[in-house]
Parts: sequence; structure tokens; C-alpha cells
Amino acid sequence: MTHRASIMFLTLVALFLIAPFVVVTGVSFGASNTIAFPPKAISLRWYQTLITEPDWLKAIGLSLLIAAIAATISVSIALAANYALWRTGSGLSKLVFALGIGPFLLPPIILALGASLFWAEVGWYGRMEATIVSHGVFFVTLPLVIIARGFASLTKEVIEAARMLGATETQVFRTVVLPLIAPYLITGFALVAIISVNEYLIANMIAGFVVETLPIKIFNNVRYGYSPVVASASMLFVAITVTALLVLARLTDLIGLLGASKED
Amino acid sequence: MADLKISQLSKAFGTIEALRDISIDIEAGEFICLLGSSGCGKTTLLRLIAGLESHDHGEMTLAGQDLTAIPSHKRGIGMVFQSLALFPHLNVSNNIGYGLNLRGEDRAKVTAEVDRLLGMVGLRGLGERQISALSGGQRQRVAIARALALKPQIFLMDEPFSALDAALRDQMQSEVKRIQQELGVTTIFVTHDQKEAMALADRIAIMHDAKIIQVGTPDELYAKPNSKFVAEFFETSNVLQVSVDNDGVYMGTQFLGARAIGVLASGTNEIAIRPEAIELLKSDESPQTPGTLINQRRLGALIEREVDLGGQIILQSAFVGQGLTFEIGDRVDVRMDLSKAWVLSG
Amino acid sequence: MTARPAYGAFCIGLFAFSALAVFFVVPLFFMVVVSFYKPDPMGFYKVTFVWENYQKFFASFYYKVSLRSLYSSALGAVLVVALAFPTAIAVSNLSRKWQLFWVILLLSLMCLSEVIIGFAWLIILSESAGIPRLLEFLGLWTNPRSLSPSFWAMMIGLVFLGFSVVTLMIYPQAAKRDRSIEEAAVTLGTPPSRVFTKVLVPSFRPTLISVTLTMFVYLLGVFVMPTMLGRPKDWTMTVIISDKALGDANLPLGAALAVVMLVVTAITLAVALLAERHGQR
Repeated sequence: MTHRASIMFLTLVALFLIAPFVVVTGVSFGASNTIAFPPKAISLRWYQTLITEPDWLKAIGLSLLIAAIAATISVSIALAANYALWRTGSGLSKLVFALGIGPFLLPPIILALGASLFWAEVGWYGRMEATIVSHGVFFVTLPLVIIARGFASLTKEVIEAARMLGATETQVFRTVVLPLIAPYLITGFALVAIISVNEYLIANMIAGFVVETLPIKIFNNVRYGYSPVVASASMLFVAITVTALLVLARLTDLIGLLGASKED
Repeated sequence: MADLKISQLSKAFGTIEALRDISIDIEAGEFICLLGSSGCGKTTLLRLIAGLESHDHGEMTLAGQDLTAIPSHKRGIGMVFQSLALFPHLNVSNNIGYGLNLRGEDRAKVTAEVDRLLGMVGLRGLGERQISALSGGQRQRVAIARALALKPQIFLMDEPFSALDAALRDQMQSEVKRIQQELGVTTIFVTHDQKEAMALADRIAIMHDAKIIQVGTPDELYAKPNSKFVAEFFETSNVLQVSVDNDGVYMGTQFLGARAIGVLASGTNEIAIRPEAIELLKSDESPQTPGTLINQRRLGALIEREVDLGGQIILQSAFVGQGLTFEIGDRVDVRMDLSKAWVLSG
Repeated sequence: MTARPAYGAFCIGLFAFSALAVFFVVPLFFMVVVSFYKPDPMGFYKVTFVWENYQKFFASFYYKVSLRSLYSSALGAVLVVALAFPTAIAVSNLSRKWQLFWVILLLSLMCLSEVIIGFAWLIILSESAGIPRLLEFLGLWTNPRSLSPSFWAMMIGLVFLGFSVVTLMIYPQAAKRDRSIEEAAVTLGTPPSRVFTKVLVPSFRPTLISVTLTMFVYLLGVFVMPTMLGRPKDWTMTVIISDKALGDANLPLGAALAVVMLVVTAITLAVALLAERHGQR
């Protein structure tokens, strides 16, 4: 590919990727009761509806709450697995790692059905706690892999230096390991939170009829006759997701975290 | 300060023998260099002393106390790692004060102590700097101050200057020497650079293939290497394979000189002879041991020449103005003062 | 560090293991068990051992649905990779600033809910707001109709969904590739326009195969696109399973269908892994 051809190709791809959201943005700022693009008149009424109607507010609140706790659970598991692997290198910790990759590879419907059967048996079917735990466990893969990069960046000599200066195992963790892997923990947390906020299928099969998260509410709205408020809800989502990633990009080296740095 | 006695220490990693029967006594306040090429076991020995690895056999005592059971951080040891291993998330002061802070010393005392250490290593006023904002030499100084912060009995350094350029390395060497003499701390310094070892050490232990093969002052090692390895390591003696009979000393069929009584036994010997114990003459005067001058260069007040003697390159040196002058390519007659040669053990 | 027993670290590892074992492995295992239970129209299921759920699968409609799912996922996966690979390469040749832009764009899309992407395409394909209206405006289509639901609407949704994932999977390797090979090819007379097919595609072949297979599995599991953009006859296995489980409350049948899907997934992933291993040699 020549340079110019490749830039043109990328521009087309970018158009394909961004166009749907331009249209949705237009619809969300429309004044009419029906979905129309380009909008005949601009108004903020659908955003107003979104933040004043208790139903929508509740869905937003639930989604954020679930995401925050699920991300905490996910990062805790990923940190624990990585610490055990780093500290002991034992077979158990390698097994944990292999297990942790699993949820990423399996179709979500399988996870969702398994989880809903499991929670029904346990008696938590339809409870928010069940959604939180399942999200936390199923989304562990990304933090697992990202935090592993963090541990790989710790050199053996830095840890030995801390030990020789009198740090106990706990102190080494608190004063050296934790500060050095913090960017990786933050990235892992943010990604799980974003994925959890956006996830539909698992949340719906575990507790969808009781715990109506934002994606579930949007889906139900689209299915049973929709109004432009769905567009404003979607754009709110896009805004949250993109903002979170932009903040992340400022705090950390995203390209490096993906493993795409040349010096890696 | 206390002396460190190591006897018959051995260590293997799997089937690879890292150290074999290491014995050395290090006196209090002494500056010892462990010198050898990579893989000779010098770093492993340092790590055993530091308590970062445990040995398989042998003993280590510090001031008469067995070190084996004492964990690394209670041995009274400060170490500068090859990578320096500074804490990248802490500033200079917090790096240096890391150990003191862990001990729960009160803030004012830590600050005062860190200030004193900053002054000692010449970093006064840079306490608030981040490690990433320091130059290579400044990082070395932080690492040294951090290792000395807990007033160790033994100070270990693992090739700390190998990444520095020559000028900076010279400067850091004299700094280390100065600090060591000020504190009088027993110091063990690992290096593969013989010039560095010569410049720093009270005594040098030369290591090769998991063993210490010679220990001595720089002068002793320079003047009388006990083996071909040491001699070649210092690159300052000629090592020759010679046969000796009643008439004289021969290298192959080449006659080197008359047999010096009491120095060489009959038979095959490996001998070493220093460049200054060799004299060159114009070959037409008395062509007993003819060679060809292939290179010569001035080193300060000395002239160093390389002579091809029947395939073996021999190093010869003389003060400028002493002896004859030659051109490259000249045929020369090589005279060796064999009374100054000595036999190598292996 | 001297090798001392690290009980603390062991317990911490045990915590991670238990979390995954209890909330990931046990539910999957339990699902396999349920697939052998007898459906009970009054409750969830009766605890016995029957093969009838699997017999239903092989004897009927579900079998055809699965074949159709396999077809649409495979087609989708190939289209996604065909689009994503040149993108990843082109992005990796950009300046670092633009690379970051693309990484953020792709990460946003990867994280964004299927529901929202589906909704966006629903609008852009609809007669009142999207492409049909634009074509009408341009005078190219006199009597526009909505372009969804249809098979190709669903396909666009699937490709859009998978695109960001695959590009982000290939991108790190594309960014780290040894560019001297391409330069060498050009100096040896390969026209720059053909370096892509002559040099890049062959050198990325193992990655491309394994990514295509991974994407196949991923698309097999997509739920929202078929329901939002596809016709009922385009519905995939995922939709049917969810329908059986939630709609008909026939959990054992849903579980059996999920187990079949699990097996297909496992086989595909094993092949992908082999392809990657083989390529590394």
C-alpha cells in the first residue's frame, strides 16, 4: 500500500466507525417525538428527560454501582493471581492464570446461562449481587493480562534492594510493588468498569427483569417502541466511555500497555 | 567493623557449579576487589555474602559469628546493585532514607541523616529530585548513599560503574575510594575491569571457573602472576612454553638464553617474563635469537614493542632513550634476562 | 530472595483460584449437568438423567439454526479480518499521536455496548434518519424503505462489532514488526503497492488464521445484532438459547444447546492455538 492509499483507506474506515454515532448524536438533539435525522430543530429535551426521569436515573445509578464493585472484584482477583504467580511461580498460580483467560474466549451466552443456572441454585437469581460477582469474575481476563505486564516490569534487584534494607514481605508489597504497578491496576480497573457498564447479555440473564441496567433499559426500549431518549442515553454512554479512556490515556501509556511499544 | 572469613564455600545452580571451595579472609576496613570475566562466579559470591542466595557447603563468619542463619537484612550489609535498583517512584531523599523510614526512626532524625549522606556523596540540595531526572553519575551516588544509610559493616558493590563512560568511571572510582577511606568500611567490589581493580583495591581476588585462583595486592599480582590465566588477564607478562636442558632454554627450536641456575628445572615449563626483562639488539651484532619487530608505540615514558619470535608475539618494553632505536620491520635479536622469569603453576 | 515457604502468597493465590473455580468453572459444570435434566413446564427442571435434550438438537430445527449461525459467524469473521488487518498495518505506520487517536477510538468501540452499536445502526439504516433518506435526498432512491432487519444489516452489525476487537489484537504485533523486511522487498523490486499481499499477508498468516478463528467464536456469541438488525430467520444459536432459557423457561434444552456450542467453541479455539503454535515454529 502506498502512503496516500493507506491514508484514504483509514479515512474511510474512520468514517464507517464514526458515522453511526454522528447520526445518533443528531437524533439525540432533535426536538421532535420521532426519530429523525438530520433534526429539524435542536433541543436538549431528551437529555433533560434522561436526567429527570427516575427510571433512567435509576438505571444509570445501578450500572455505575455494578461497574465500580465488579471492577474492584476483578482487579482484586487479577492482582491476587499475579502476585501469587510472581512470588511463588507455583503450578496453582499458573492454573489460575489459565482459568482467567477462559471467560474472555467463551461466548458470553454460555457464561450467562451457566451463571443464571448457578445463581438460581444458590438462591441469588435476580439479585444485583449476583450480577456484580459474575461481572467481576467474567471480566478478569483484561486486568489479569495487564497487571501481569506490571509485574514483569519489576526487576528482581529492586525487590532485593528493599529486602536488604529491612523491608518485610508486606512492606515490600506496600512500599515498592504497589506503587510501581499502580498504573496497571488503574487501567485494569477502568477497562473492567467500562465493559461492565456496557454489558447486556450476562446482566440480563442473571437479573435483567429486576435489576434493569442502562443497556438493558435501552434494549427494552428499542424492542418495545422507542423514543429519541434512547439516543440521548446512548450518547451519554459514548461520552462516559470515551472520557474514561481519554483520562486513562493521560494517566498511562496506553500504547505501551497494549504491548505495542517497540522497546518492549 | 569486623573481619569476614569465608572457608570452602560451594554453590551450584542445578548441575552448574557456580562456586567451588572458595576460601578467603577479609580484614576489617579492607577494600577487596573480586576480579574475573563474566560467569566466573564473582557475582554469586557477592550474593552469598549478601544473603541473597544460600550456599551448599562451607562456612561464612562475620566477626566470629556464623552468617548462615542470619537473614540478609540483619547481616549489616549495604549493597549497590549492578542495575543500581533505585526505587523509581521515590525521590532521592526517600530512596536514601528508605531503610531508616522502615525502622520507624523519627522524621527529624531521618532528614538529618539523609542530609548528611547527601553531603557525603556530593548531592546536597538534590534531595527532592525524581530519580528519572538524574544523570548516570548522580544515580550511582544515590545508590551508594542508600547502601551506606544503615551504617553497614560490609559494603558490597556489583559492577556498579560498568554502564558509565570512561571519564565518569574514573571520577566515581576516586569518589568510592574516598568515601570508603573516610568510613573505613570493609568493602567488596565486583568488577571485570582489571584497571578498575588496580585503582581501587587493597587486595584483589582473581576468580576463574568458579574458583579463586590468586589473591594479592595489585603490586603482587602485577609483578608475579601465579598462572597463565592471571598473567594473560593482566596482559603485562609474556607467557612462554619452554623446554630446558643443560645447555639453555629453548622455545621450540628457538634458543632463548642460558639456563639461570636455580630458576628453571629441566624439562618442559610454562614461564612468565615481564616485558622490561627483555632487551632488543640489532640482529647483525649477534643473531642468537632472531625476531622481527612488528609494532611499537609510546606509552608515556615507555616504549612498548611487539616482536614476532618464530610465530609467538612477545611484548618488550624500555624507557624512551634507553637502549637502541628500531623501525618496524627491523630484524632484531631478542635477549631475555631469564633470571627474572618465573614458572607458572597452571 | 532466598527460597522460603511463602504461605501468604499461597493463600492469596488460593483466593484467586477459588473465585474463578466457584464462579466460573462450577457454573459451567452445573450447566452441563442441567443439560441432562428433564424439562418441567411447571418449574425449572426435574432431576433425572435423560438424553432427550441432545436428541432434540440433532433431530430438528436447532440443527439448522446452528448451521446458519456457523455460516454467518464464519462469513463475519472473514470480513472482519479482511478489513481489520490492513487497518492495523496502516495505523501502525502513523505518527505516535495518531496511533493514540486510533487506539482510543478502537478501545471505545470495543468497550461500547452491543446495544448501543445495534441501536446506532438501526437508526442509520432506517427510512426516517439514515442512509435510505440520504439516497432519497440525493435522488437515487425514490421510494426508500428501511434497510433493516435483513441478513446484511445483521452482517454489518457483526463486522462493526468485531472490527475494533480484531484490530486491537493485531495492532501490537503490527507495530512491533520488523519493517526492514518490507524495505528489503521494495529494494528487491516488489512494487510498493504489492508489498501488502506479497510480504505482509504471508508473514502474518499464522496470526490471521488464529485471529479469524477467535473472531468466529466471538461472533457465534453475539446476541444483540441478530435480534435488533436481523430477521427471525437470521437468528443465531445465541438468540435461540437465550429464548429457550428466558422465554420458554426450558432450561435443560437451553443448557444442552449451550453445551453443543461450548464443544464447537473448544474445538475452534484448539485449532486456533495449533495454528499459532505451528506458525511460531
